[in-house]
Amino acid sequence: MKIRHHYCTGCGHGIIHRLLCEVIDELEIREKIIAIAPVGCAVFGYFYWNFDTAEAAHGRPPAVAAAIKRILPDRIVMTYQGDGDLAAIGGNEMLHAANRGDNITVVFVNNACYGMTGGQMAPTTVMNQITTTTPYGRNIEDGYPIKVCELLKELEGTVYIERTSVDSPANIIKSKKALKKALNCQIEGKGFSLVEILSMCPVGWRLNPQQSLEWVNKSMKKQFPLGVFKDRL
Amino acid sequence: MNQQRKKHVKITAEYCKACGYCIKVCPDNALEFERKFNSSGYHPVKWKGKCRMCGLCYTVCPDFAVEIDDQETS
Repeated sequence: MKIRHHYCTGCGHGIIHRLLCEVIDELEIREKIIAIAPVGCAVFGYFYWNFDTAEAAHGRPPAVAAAIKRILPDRIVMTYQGDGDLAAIGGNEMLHAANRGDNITVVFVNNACYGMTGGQMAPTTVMNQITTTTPYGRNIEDGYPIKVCELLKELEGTVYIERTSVDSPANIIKSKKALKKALNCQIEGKGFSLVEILSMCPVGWRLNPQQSLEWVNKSMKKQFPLGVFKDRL
Repeated sequence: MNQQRKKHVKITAEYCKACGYCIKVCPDNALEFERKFNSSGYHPVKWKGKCRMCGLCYTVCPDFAVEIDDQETS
């Protein structure tokens, strides 16, 4: 990929974009895939991807994806969303798309804050995490982090749910395998698949890139354990 | 003349944002920050010229700046 992107130093989006593009090339579905870009840091995803994309209102990509999949059932439809987009504003759309068992793939990039607007608290912010809106750390009054994978695995409509991260080469390779499996799940017509990827946001977390890798490892993985939550393939 | 293709690490200095992930994962300490700046104001990473070509730097680079490339040598 020869393109210069706008993401901050150390952001995980670049790695996930590359993994997606590699998987799409390996599956040879570039002419068939339609991606839905979110509102958030990855809003300009369509500048970097050389395949068809659509833009949806904040949080609505699963609804748009479900519509596109019903109109063009032979296409592969994928949404790429952040945690503010999927877990907060789009919680309703995500839940009902999963519950209907729409044959779409959701790539959920979880960075534990609203990165685009300056690192405010998101539903996935972990306990005691300091953000601009929780300057003394997230406490019980602010609620508990939403665990999207654990939530969706209970729904009967979902087929494949996995949580991975991009904090080390081993986990990056695992993420690639998970993305490939999720897209394969859709190609085979099995149903709803979601891959949650824990990603670094050094600027939002006020850490340097090296510290942000450690923070994913120490704090995020405690709250969001990695693994396959559901696999009915 | 025997033409051989030899692998090398190609770093696009203009794309590098100096996150240092590649330096952290490199098992051979074959990468380091350059002293000069690129046009975005970062110290880009430089390949020292000898390593085992494991490709971990390519795997972790978020900025598409690292490539493992073939180079023709005679």
